[in-house]
Amino acid sequence: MKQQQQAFALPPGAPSIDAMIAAENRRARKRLWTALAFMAPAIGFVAIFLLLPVFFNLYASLTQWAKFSGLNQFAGLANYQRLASNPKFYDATWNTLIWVGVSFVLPATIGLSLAMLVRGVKGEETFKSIFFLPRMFSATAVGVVWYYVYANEGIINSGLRAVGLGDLANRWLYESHLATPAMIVTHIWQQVGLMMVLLLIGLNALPSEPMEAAKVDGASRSQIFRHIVLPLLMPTLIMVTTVSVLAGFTSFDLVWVMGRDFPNRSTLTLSVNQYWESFRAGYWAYGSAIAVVLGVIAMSISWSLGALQHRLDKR
Amino acid sequence: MQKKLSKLLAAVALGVTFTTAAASADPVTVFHDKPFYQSGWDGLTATAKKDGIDLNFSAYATDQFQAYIQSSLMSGDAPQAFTWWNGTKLKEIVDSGQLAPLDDLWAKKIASGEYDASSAAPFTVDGHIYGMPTGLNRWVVLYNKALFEKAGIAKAPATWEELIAAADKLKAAGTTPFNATIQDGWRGFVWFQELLLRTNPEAYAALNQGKLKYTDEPVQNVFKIWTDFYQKGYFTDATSQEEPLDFARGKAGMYLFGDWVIGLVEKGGVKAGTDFGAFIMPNVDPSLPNAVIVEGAPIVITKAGMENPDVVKFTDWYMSENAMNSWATDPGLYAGNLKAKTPNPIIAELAKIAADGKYTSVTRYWEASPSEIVLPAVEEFNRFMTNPSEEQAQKAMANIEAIASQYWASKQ
Repeated sequence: MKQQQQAFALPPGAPSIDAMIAAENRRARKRLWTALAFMAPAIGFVAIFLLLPVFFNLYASLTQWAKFSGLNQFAGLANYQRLASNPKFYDATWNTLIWVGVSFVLPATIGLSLAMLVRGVKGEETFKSIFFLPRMFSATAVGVVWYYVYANEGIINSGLRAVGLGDLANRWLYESHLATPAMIVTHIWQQVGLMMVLLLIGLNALPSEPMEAAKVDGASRSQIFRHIVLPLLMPTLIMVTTVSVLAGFTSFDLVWVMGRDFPNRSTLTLSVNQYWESFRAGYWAYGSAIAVVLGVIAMSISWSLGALQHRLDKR
Repeated sequence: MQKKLSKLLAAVALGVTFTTAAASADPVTVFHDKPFYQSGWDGLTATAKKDGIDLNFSAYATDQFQAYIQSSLMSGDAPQAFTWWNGTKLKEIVDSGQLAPLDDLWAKKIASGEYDASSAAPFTVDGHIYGMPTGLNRWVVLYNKALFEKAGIAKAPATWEELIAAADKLKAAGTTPFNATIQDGWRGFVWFQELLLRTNPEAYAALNQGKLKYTDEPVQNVFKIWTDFYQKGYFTDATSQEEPLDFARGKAGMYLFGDWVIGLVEKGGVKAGTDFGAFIMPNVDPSLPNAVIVEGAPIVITKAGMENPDVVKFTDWYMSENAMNSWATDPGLYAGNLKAKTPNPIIAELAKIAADGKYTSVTRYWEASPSEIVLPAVEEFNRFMTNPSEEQAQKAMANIEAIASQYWASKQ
C-alpha cells in the first residue's frame, strides 16, 4: 500500500487510499442492500411459491401421508420403492418419453415446413392466422372437441364410412396402440401453428447476403437450405424445440380430457398419473414421489437443451 | 335540543349495531361437487331465503373437492357443511373425529313422520348418524316402453328368466338390450355389483369386507355371465359419452343405473312413467332375499359447524318438508322425506317399495368397498368392458385380487 502511495502521489487534502477503498466498500454494500431490497418481493415470491413447495414436496415424498390427518410418519424411500414396482409408473414414463420424443421432432419439423411453404406467398398473413388459430383455444376445449372427432360416430369414422373405408374406422381413443398417437396428433395440430410463427420470425431475421452470395455461386435451393439457412436458424430451432419438448412433457389438460377414461390409465403421462394418484386416489405422498421424478427428468431435458444452445452460441 | 340529540345518537348507535350484526352474519355455505344439481341448489337457496336462512352453495369439480376437503380437515379448518359419500368413504372422514353426529336431529325427524328410520342407515357409522341426505337413490333398471312394446314384451321382467327373455326379444327386434358405458371413468362397477348381488348377496358382502377373493368362484361366475352377455350382443358401445341420452334416444331397451339419472334421461325429451318405466333387477335365484342397491349422498356437518347457530338452524330446515319440496323440483332429486313431493312417478313408486320394507337396502359397491380397492377395480372393469373377452376377465380378477389382498393384509 505504501508503495502505491509513493507511486501515485495524492493531492493535498485528498482522502487516503484506505479511506477511499472503505468508502467504495460502503457504497458497494449500500448498492447490494438496495438491490436486495428491490429484489426482495421477487425473491420472497420465488422462495414462498416455488422453492418452499419444491422442498416440501420432496419431504412429503419421504412420508406416509394419511388421508384426512396429514403427514404422520416418516417412510424413507418407501414411496420410491412402490413407484419402482408399479407397472403404471413405467407405462406413464414410457408414454411421457413418447410424448417428449415426438415433441422433439415433429412440431418443429412440421412448423419449419409450413414456415417455408407460406413464407413470401400471396396471403401469407391469412395462412399464418389459419395455422395459428388452434393455439388460441385452451387445451381442455381442444381435447373435448377432438374427443368427439375420434368418437365412434365422430367425424373421422363417419368420413371413413362415407367413402367406403368403414374397415378403417376405429375406437381411436380406446385401443391401446392408437390412443396415444391420436392424442399426440391433436397436440401437434394445436402446437404447430405457434412453431411455424416462431420459425417465420427466425427466418425473416436471417441476413440475406449469405444466401444471395450462395445463389451467385450457383448453389441449389436445397444446398442453400441445408448449408446456410439451417445453421443460421439453429438458435431459433433449438428455442422452438425446447418450447415444444417442455409443452409435450408437461402436457396435462389434453391427456386428462382425452385419455382419462382409457381403461387402466395406460395412456397417461407422468404428470397426469401424478395428479391421478394424488388427487383422485388420495395417495398424496406417493404422488409427491412421482412429482420429484417428473421434476428431475424435466430439469435434465431442459438443462441438456440449454447446454446444446450454449455450445452452438459459442461457435 | 339535547333530548333530540340523544335520540339521534341512540338511533345511530342502534343502526350501527344492526348493520354490524348483519354484516358479520355470514351465510351458511354448503360445499359440494355436484354442479349438475344446480337447479336443485338454486331452489333450496331461494326457499331458504323466504324462510329467513341465508344459504349459499359452492361447487367444485370432484377431484378438487376431495383434495380440498382432505387438506382442510388436515389443517383443522374444514368447511362447516359439505356433501360427501356414504359407506367406507363416510367412515374414513368420521374417523378423523371432526364430524358432528346428527342423532338428535334424525330422532326428531323420524318422530315427526317425515323420515323412515331406514333412511338413516346409509349415514350411520358406529351407531351414530352423520349425514342429511341429498339423495337416497335406488339402483334400478329403466326400460323403454315403446321398444318393449315393439319387441312384444308385455310387462317389466319380474324374474331372471323374464329378464333374459326380454333381452332376447329386444335383440331379435333389432334393439340392443342394455345400455352400459364407461363414461366419466367410474361406471365400470355398475354391472359387476348388480350381477354379484343377484347371484350371491352373501359373496357381495364378503367381498366388500375382504372375506372373499376376487378370484373366487362367485366373482368368476359374475364375469362368466357378464362375458356371456357381451358375446350375445346385449350391451351398447362402452365408449359412448352420452349414456343417459343414448337411452332416451332408444339406443337400448334397458338401462341399469341409479334413479338420479332419470332427470338426465328426461333431458333427452322423454318422460318418466310415460315413455319409460323402471323395475328392480330380479335375482338369478328367486329364493334369494329381495334387495336393492342404495346410494346415499349426505351433507355432513363438522363439530365446529354445530357450534354455529345458523348452521344448526339450517340442518333443521334442510330436512323439512318445505325444503325438500323445493329440492324435488329438479326432475331427478329425492332425499327421502316422506311428506315431501316426489319428482316423478318412478321415484314415487320406489319410495313406496322402500317404505314397505320388502326390500333390503344394500350399499353401493363404490361406497361399500375401500376406495383403495374400488378405484383400481373400476379401471379393470372398464378395461374388461372395452375388451370383454374371457382372457381379459381373468386378468381383471387377478389384477384386482393382487391389490385387494395387499390392502387387506395391510389392515391386519
